[in-house]
Amino acid sequence: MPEHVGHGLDEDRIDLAYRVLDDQLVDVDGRRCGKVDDLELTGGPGGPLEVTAILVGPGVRAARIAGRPGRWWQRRVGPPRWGANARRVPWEQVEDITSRVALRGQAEDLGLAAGDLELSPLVARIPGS
Amino acid sequence: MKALLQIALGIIAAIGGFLDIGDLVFNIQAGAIFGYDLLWAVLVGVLGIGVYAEMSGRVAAVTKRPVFDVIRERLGFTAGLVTLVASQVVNLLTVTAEIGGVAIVLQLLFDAPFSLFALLGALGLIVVIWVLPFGGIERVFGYVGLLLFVFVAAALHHGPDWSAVGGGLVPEAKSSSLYWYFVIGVIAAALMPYEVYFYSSGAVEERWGPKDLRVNRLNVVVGYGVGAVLSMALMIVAAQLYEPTGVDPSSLGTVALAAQIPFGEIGLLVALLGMLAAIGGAAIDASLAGAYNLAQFLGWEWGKYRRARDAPRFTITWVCFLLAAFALAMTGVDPVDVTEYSVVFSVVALPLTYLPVLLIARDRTFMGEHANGRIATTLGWIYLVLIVGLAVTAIPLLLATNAGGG
Amino acid sequence: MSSVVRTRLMLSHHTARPRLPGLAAGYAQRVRRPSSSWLLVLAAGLAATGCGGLSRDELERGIGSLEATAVEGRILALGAAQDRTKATFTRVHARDLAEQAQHEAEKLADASPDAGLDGTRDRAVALAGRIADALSALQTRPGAEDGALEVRDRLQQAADEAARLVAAR
Repeated sequence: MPEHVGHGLDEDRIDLAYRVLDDQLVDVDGRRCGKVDDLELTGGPGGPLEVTAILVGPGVRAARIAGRPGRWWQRRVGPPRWGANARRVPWEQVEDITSRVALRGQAEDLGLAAGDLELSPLVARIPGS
Repeated sequence: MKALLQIALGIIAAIGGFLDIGDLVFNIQAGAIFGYDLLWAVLVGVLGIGVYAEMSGRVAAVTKRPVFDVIRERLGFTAGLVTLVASQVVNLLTVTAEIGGVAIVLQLLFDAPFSLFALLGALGLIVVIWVLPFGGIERVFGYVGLLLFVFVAAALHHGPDWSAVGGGLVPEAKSSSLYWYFVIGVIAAALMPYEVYFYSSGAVEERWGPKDLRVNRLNVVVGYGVGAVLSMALMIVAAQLYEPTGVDPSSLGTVALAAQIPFGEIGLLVALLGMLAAIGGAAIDASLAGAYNLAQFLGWEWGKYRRARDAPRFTITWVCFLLAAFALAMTGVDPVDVTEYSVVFSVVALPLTYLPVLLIARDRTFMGEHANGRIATTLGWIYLVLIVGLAVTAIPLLLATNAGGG
Repeated sequence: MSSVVRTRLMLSHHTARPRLPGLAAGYAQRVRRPSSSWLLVLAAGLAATGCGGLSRDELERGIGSLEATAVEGRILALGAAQDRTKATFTRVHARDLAEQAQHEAEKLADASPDAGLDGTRDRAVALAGRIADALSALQTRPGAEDGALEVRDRLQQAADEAARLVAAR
């Protein structure tokens, strides 16, 4: 693992499925911005495999639903369209992994929490929000 | 000293907020039909919610993760999604029943059309959640809910048959399917999962940490323990007033009547106000629970401690729950019927939400030294078996007894 | 030379499904058939819950329910007679109880009773009508104390008659 990543990754091993997958993503401002919906592994057959990115979004989640309901949902959501219904967060953006995955950047820059960012000005119009 | 006062006030609010329309309906009906015989089921149910809430509160305090955050982690995505859908259906049914209940109690107080009060109730609750902070909501509804102690007074006023009470506290098996339907109903009404979604999210809202674990335990033991007394009082009052005379409680008016008989007009008003607070508070808890669940499953920003504009999808979700519940209540379904279905279906979905919490609560990787000790482990597993048993038998019994109609 | 693998990380407690088309199709078939027979069982069960027929047990349950309504109405009327309650509550609750009695009357009237039960059924329907009338009187004038006393007596009589109807063979 690259040295500059946060101390939570100093442990010798980290169980990706157990401790990273489905964990809450939090940006540098402490804003919740989705969950680790999937991981991108890069490498070739017979060679080293490296975690290169976190994948987020409905397009990514649809692929994780098993069986026929999964295929039906995938037809509705469509294939992962990077930048639209799927986002790729490079692994270098990961600051720390504790009970949540802390990211270095802001949600907006990373393309995360798009729903909240879009709806926030609308909700802000209502008094008392 | 101030900290102790805060803790005490929190527990008191928890007591007042313990009952909802499901408890009111099932405990009064059980008392009217079976007298004191189902008191043991109240204890089983309250102990169950205590175990479940303590574990989920502890998990939330230590890992900062409430129930639905944990569910996706431990069950995997597909099973977690199934659980989410099932839980949200039950939450919606629950909010619908509670909104209907609010409308009925308002009718009993002010005689105007049901639809008007359903609308006022839903809108009023939306405004309350919008304006008040999390702690404020819990305190207001919790304190007014304490008025339901009028039923404890009513039970004592008539002088309960203490030997029969004692007998009722001992579990008994009967061959009647109606009996077992009510066993499940009374236990399930106490074990409503929305309370746990709400409680664990509340623990994160109030920034609990490992130092709050003692408060967690106190809340559960004292708060729910005294809450059990309230539930039992309802059953005892019905056993005293309705079982001998053959009254069959099928509306909330009958619940309030049980306080009017000993204490006249004052008793009636106190009961109706207490019911309004308990049912209204439950509507709030269940709709927030619906929003918590969805947001926590998908990773959205959530929480009443956030401004509405900082957690817009979460906010829109709980507003939609209340509006959808209002729409369903307007279809003319009897809120008491909806209550019975929401309680029965919630126990069917309960194993799916209970198991992941149990698994995380005992997992040292997540919990460190705060993982389940001996008591929690034993009770945790016993209740898992019990809950699965309830879940499997609930719907057959619902069909066999025609939802308690006999 | 590295290639990007976007993986669906299936957690260890996911059971792996065989990916062979033949097997998958077979699995789907096996799952589909039981679900349609389930519907049949459910439909049969619903039909069996007797829309239409009226057995002795169901008639007795109906009369028992009328008795319960009458007793509750009597308690309500007593509170009004003693001026120990709120008029609004009396009115609204009396209305609910009257609707209950009406509903039971309609259910009994619509059903076709088993042999020998016609007479009892007709008396039960008439009784339900009297209960609903008494409760309507309470609903109309919930604050009138003597009126409430009379309603209480009428409902007491109705409850007694219901008990007699059930006891009589």
